[in-house]
Amino acid sequence: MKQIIIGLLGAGLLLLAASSCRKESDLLMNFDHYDYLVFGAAEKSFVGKFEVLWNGLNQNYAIWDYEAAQGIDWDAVYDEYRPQFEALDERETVSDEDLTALLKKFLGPLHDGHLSFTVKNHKTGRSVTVSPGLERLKQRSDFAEATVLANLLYYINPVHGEVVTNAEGLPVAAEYSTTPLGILTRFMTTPGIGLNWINAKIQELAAVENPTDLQAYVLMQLVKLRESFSELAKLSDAGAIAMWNDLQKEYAFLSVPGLDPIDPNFVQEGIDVKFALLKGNIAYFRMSTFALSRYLEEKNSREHFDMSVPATQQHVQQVKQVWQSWFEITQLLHKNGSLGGVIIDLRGNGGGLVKDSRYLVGSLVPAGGILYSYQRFKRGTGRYEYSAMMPGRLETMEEAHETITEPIVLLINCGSVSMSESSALCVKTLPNGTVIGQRSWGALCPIIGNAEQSYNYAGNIGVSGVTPVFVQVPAMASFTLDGELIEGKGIIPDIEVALDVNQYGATGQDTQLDCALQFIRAGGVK
Amino acid sequence: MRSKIIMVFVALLLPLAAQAQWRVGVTGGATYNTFSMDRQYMDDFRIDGRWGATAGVSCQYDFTDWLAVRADLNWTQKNFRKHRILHNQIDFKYRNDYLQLPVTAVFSFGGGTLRGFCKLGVYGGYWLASHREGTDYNNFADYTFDLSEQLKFNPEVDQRWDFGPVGGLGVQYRISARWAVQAEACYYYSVVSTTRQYMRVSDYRYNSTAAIQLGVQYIF
Repeated sequence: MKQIIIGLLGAGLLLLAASSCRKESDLLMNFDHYDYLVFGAAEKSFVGKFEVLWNGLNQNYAIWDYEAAQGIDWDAVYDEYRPQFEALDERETVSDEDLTALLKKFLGPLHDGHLSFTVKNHKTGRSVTVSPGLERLKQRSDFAEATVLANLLYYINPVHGEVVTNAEGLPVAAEYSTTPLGILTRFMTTPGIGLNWINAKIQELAAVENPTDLQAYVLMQLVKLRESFSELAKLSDAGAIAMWNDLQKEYAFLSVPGLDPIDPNFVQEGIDVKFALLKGNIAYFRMSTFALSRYLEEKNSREHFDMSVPATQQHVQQVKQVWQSWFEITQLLHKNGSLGGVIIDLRGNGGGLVKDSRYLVGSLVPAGGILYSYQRFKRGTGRYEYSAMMPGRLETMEEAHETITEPIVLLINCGSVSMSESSALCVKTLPNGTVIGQRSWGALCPIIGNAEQSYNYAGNIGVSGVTPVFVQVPAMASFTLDGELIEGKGIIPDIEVALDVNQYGATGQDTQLDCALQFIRAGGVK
Repeated sequence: MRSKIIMVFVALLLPLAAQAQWRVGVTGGATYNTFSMDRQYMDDFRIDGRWGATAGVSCQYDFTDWLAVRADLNWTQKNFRKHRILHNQIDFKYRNDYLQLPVTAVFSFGGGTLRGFCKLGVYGGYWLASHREGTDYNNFADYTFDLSEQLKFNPEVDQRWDFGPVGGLGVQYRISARWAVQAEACYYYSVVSTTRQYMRVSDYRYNSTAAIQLGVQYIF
């Protein structure tokens, strides 16, 4: 009996001693919402900002294994940069440039293409933004191509013999823009409306020898209105639209054709679409951003635009018509066996809505989705805690449609980001798909809303405009079908060809589009 | 001096050796493992224990009728379930296979045929394999994904060696002069985190495993 008691006592003591051998983990904070305990120190110290950035990324960033393989030791980064942020706290003044320079050194080596850091400089009261992807892009020799706005002026001019014309000799082409720049440019340049109408009216009224009081007043107001337009160019898109809407209300009595209110949502959701049927029955479509579903789906349009305004209805309808022209002609020509091929131009396209895929590449392939990647989510606070690899599919058009078997070419360049790159990966999986152009940006890991990202215990750090640190962090990693992560590297086209920027500027002739046309006209075999 | 110590030690063991006996046996049973980690702010995360299996061989040396030393070599599963209560599509069941070597002092008591025993000691283990199955949710593409995968060990993160105290209680029934059967419950309490401290933020995770097993022993 004695031995049993001794044995049990020994067991108890051993267990007690052993339990004290277990160690406590460090306490981690949640960075997905504003909490003074988490962001308080960052409000008034640079070290506080550093701690939020380092820890937030340590917990939320989805590709630490990839960064480690690229040679980034995140713990060593802590040791190297914390003292440098401490040194900033010692200084009387810290300029925005100093803070930006340090942030670029600290965060610039990270490879995710969507990463964007906005940090408030409490010494100046202003925020600075650093985007490692953009900084990387600026180092590229083809950076100039990213900013070239593709236009089809050369190709839709029948003189150059590149475009199919209708019975009246007019090009089979259409384009429309709902970007603030596009809407304002249309107002300023379209004959018979807008600025041209104002100029004509001013001329007409100025020519009246003995104007009535009303005529004199209208003339004076028209001149004032015209002068106000020069201010628009100095403002941001949002600022210009706000000013425009003020002008529209103030001068509505002048009944200037085209002086309609502009829905401020076009600042975010504005799109530039172009369609042309090029020689050889090659259906070309370009869009500047992935926001097409906002225009093509009635419910979506109602949710995102004020559709009670006739001008807004017209903008939405026009975008829809351009896409429909491309889609319907593609379908029709394929059915009658005369489609030469399709070109989708996503050069300079910064990405956007995933759902748009069903109206683009997804409208050319069979229903059921396109397997183009493997996706992996963060699944905990540990640096390397991930979900299993899940198949990543882009949506296809589920309504009955023809499968395009003719060559499909997708144009990309260093300004093609995110959904543009996902679309390129989709095209690469197609037997009749070819990607032409220059290596893309390298941002395939998608960003989604903060609430959804918190779902994964990953994603954004802070709240935009609220917390002193805000970081747009992708919630998941997207791998190619070969299992490769290409963040910060981009997609290499099947056929690499540079844009001759000088020639394009001088004549409008586009070496990349020419390459795509030649490729399709030669049979489009990879 | 050294030889004197050895002589004293041998002298102390002599009376025990008079009754010394060797036994060998096999064991098998079920395990129930609980996994401890700090969930931090992941409020809806739940970590539940799971049943598994254990099987092994044992070797025992009886010094007296009440004291023995025993070593086992067993394959033991340390399974657990990690899931979320707000998003029930995220539900992972982990199956972890370990090879263990517990070495215990066994204290027995009672009659000749039916005897109780308790044991106490330490064990070392090696994490052989890890498997994860269940469902996950892809909220980017909005679908639930069924998964079943063998997890690869990451030498930077995963600590494959395990160590800790082990204790147990059981009964033995002597069928004959040479054969005995045993039923026992034991508890492995790991003091080694399953994750290495691979980052400056420390994160410790531990297994605690209860086993209920039956065994047969041959007594030489």
